[in-house]
Amino acid sequence: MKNNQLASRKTPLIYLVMVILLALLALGVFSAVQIQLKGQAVFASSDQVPWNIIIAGYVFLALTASGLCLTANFFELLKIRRFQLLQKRAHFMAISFLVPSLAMLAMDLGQFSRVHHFILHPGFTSPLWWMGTVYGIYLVLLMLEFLAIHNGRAKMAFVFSVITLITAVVATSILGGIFSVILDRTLWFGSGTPVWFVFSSVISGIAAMISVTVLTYFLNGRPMGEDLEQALRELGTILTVLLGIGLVFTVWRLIASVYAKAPDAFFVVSSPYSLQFWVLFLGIGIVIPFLLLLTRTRRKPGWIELAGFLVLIGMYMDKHIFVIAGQLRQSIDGSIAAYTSTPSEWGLIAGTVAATALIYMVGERYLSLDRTVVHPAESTL
Amino acid sequence: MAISRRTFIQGAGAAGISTAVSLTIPLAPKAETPLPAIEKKDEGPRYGMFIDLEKCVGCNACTIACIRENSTPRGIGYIDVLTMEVSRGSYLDTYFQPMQCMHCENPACVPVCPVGATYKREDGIVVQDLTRCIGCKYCMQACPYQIRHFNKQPPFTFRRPNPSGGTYPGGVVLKCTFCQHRIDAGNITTACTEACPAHARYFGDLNDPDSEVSRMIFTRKGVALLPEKLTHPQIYYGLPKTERRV
Repeated sequence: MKNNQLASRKTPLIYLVMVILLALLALGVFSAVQIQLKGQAVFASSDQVPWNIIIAGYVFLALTASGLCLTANFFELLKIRRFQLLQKRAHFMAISFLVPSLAMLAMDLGQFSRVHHFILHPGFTSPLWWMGTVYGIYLVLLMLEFLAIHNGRAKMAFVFSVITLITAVVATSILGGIFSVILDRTLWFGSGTPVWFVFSSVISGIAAMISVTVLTYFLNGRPMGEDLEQALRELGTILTVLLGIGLVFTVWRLIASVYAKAPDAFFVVSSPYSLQFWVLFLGIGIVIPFLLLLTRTRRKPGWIELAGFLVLIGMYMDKHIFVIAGQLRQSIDGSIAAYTSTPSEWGLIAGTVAATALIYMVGERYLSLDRTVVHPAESTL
Repeated sequence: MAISRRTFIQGAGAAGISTAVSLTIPLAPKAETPLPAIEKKDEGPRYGMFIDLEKCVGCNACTIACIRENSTPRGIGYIDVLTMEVSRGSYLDTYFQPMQCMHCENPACVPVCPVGATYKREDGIVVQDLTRCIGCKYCMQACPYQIRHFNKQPPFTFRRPNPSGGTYPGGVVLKCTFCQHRIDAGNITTACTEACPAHARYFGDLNDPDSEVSRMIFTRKGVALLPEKLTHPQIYYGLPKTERRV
């Protein structure tokens, strides 16, 4: 009875969230139509800074989608029962992150109506071609795996989880490879980029899994259950460790760049971007959630959720700084280009995030995302 | 059989001298090659350019001629004339440096194109297939010279005629073509070369050691920009000889 009362109190809140999301989606559609009618004059990207925040947003969403699937499938392979409670939700979240983000990326193409050339004239030497192709395959595999989970086909779901796990790692590293092969961009170039992309995808994936699950149960007004709460606490512990490693990785990348006197590294640590780096990425995105998870979150899901959201903000800022600050220095004369994002770019990103949330809400309403595939006598914990 | 020390030293000396001579013979013709810039790569023509920065006055006549010749979309010109500054103690030296597609021998833009819209012709000209480009701008990222231009017009704009055929669609990447329509018609020169009032530009076949462009690269000791990027550009620059105090 108490739960029913709680749920009925939360219903207006869900409607309010849906109205806001629909408004943001409308803003995104408006921006997309504007791009087609007015061209990319509505974007702030230029010949000096060709990629804008839409690319940063895509990288963040695609990495989070990969991280969700990657983590869930890893736990699936280990057959840990508690984490299997999150498996179906994680897969549907990955789909709901990936589909709108690919649509957003298409809007950033000057001629998205020509994407069929990906098949007709494949550029096998281009990491971008491989990224598009592998992410396409990955999306299909993800959907098949979700269907298998949804229909309770445990064996098929297990087989797909192995294949999708490998594809997720490959797709994520190729996304990093797009940047890592550009010799001219010192912030991007090098083998560290794909490795960091895979690693940060796991961080984003776990953060999204924690925060969205807690928020879902809060909005639905349902209790989580002891097992799920325990799984979230353990995910919090894993996230703490990953944040620590992420911090070390970032610090070493910076030290190496400063030693090599890579000019782009100085944009990150001592320019207008330094505020975003030191405060939004390192402070809010890594250090604060790290401390939160170390101390009081062990018992309270609300604090774990907050830490998860802060990590997601930090991971977006990381991609934002990486994509934009990486392009500002012009090799030919050493000048610094300027970039200020436009309302159309933000509108498209807001619409994409809203579409992601709405797809997830539809899934949550109709697809019983808290159900698991039964593994009789297989679960180890 | 015992070998005396004298015999050994004589034998070793003779072997060393013959080895040195045999190594020198194949090296000898290479020593006569004037510069790697104009080294013949293959049998056909290989088009390139020399721009004498000593002569360039920064008038932008090349920029205007290029826009008029190629009828480029509004706001886009394939040539950017940069004002370069060199600090010399208490004063600045300035000179002008026209920039356009370098038509590199090892272009960074070609392998990254996901749909093969940018490619290198047999005569060395790097061109862009405007009917295939999807406007992902990856080639713009890869090019270290940053002289590719994105046509920001709506994707379904096809108004301006392109002298190389068809029209300029919106939402694609555009670049200097070395006036490929002229070359295909047998007129081996570019609009910018013709228009330069200071005769700072020389265009021609780099595979022909007697061509004007090859001779200019040799006599003016032409240099390529950003050699560390390993792209081997086919536009060479003659550095300014005189100091201009500002």
